[in-house]
Amino acid sequence: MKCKLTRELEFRPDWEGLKESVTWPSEPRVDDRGRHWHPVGTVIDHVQAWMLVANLDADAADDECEERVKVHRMKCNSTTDLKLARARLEAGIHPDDFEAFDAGEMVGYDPETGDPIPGPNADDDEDDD
Amino acid sequence: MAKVISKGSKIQQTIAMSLTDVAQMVSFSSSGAENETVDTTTLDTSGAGKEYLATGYTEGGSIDFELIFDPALAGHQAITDLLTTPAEVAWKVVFSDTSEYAFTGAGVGLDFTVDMADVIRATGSVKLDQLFTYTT
Repeated sequence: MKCKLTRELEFRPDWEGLKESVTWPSEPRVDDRGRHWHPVGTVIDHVQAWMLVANLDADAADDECEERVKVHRMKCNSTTDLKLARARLEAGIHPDDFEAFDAGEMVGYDPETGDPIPGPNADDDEDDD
Repeated sequence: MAKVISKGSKIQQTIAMSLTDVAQMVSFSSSGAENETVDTTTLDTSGAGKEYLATGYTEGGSIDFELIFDPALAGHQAITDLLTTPAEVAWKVVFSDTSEYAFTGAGVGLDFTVDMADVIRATGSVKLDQLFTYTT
């Protein structure tokens, strides 16, 4: 079954079966740490391809993958929860702040001070003049 | 010298020729990474101190983790898939300061707990084949 990546994902060039399973739309990027990245749009033909779709890293690229993901979503119905979980992980949100993050009251933490960065729904505590 | 916070750190696993995040991780740690030594103390060793020599081998140890377990979550199914179909796969620890420790997992373990007034949790481990690749 096939999926098409919607985000860059890292791979190792020495993985067995890589070239047989992967179709790149462009030359993979190698970053300054020597890490190799599948470009967005990479098509992966693999028995686990549906997992990347379920993990919100890819879209289904054939009927087999589409059907497998449908079965998965019928079982867990957690796409919304997973989106939130991935967003929290990307922003490094502490569990104590999950509620505030989910409500849009904060979007992350200041890297210098560690203070929450207000989100679009943050309370405005300043008095109006 | 910096104090690196834990939040934002993650573990990545190989799924379909790609490294992707393991979701709903609560904590993780490494254990058992150490140089192997051999006791070379003999009856005629001078002084009270025991003597050891490095063998030249190093035990890579394991990564142990706790997660809020969702049996239907794709990333968690990928771990149980390794139990049913053992395979060596690439993993990576990514710290919040973007330092990375890559490793090959020789095998996994997974235990789950269902408790009143709690969510389903699982603890697991990944046994290292050889050592971490320590990259900062």
